[in-house]
Amino acid sequence: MRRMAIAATGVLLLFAGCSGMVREVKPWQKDVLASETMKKDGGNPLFYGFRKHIYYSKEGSKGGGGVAGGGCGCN
Amino acid sequence: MRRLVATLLLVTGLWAYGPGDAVPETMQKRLGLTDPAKTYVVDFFASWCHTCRREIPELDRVAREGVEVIGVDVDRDVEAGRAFVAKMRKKGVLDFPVVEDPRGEIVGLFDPPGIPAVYVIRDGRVVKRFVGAHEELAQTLLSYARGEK
Repeated sequence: MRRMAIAATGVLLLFAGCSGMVREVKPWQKDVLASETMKKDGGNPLFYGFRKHIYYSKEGSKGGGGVAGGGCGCN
Repeated sequence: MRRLVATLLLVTGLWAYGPGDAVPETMQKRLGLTDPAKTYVVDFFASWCHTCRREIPELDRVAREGVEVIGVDVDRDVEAGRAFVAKMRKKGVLDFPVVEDPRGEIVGLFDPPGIPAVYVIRDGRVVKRFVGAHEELAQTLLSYARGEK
């Protein structure tokens, strides 16, 4: 019981120490996140289309996009 | 003492400006809020913020009705911010003065939870704050400016 209490205190102190490392990004500082290159397709819709196609092929067993496939990305 | 504590809290960002809060005189001067009898609308926007872009024409409408509107451009890239403002002026949808705040000194004090953030200020105090997209913003702001709210 005493060991558990010491372990729990240690874990709490560890997490408390981590809080200083977390810095909030203010809403007006999110310019980089809003950049075109931060989008999933890196700002290139054609590239996104290709990636989406390959992704759906690979996830065919899970029914993604309604396209069945063996994971080769060929269809 | 209360004022000192309030100023410290504001400076540390623990206390964002909301309705009822007084805007410090130095900040009022920086924003050009010189007449306490007038109602001012202060809009924090950025060139990369889509909602801000949609809202600017609404604020332009308010400004054309004779309300004092002041824009605060929070772009950290000053040139990008200036180019955006110039483009909006050329389109004829931004006809109010804009203050640049690349270091976030002004917006840091107001500390809105998001942008666009529109503050209605009367007699040196925040009367109302609108954050994000707002339906019929122009109409609502005009109501505040006319003293109907």
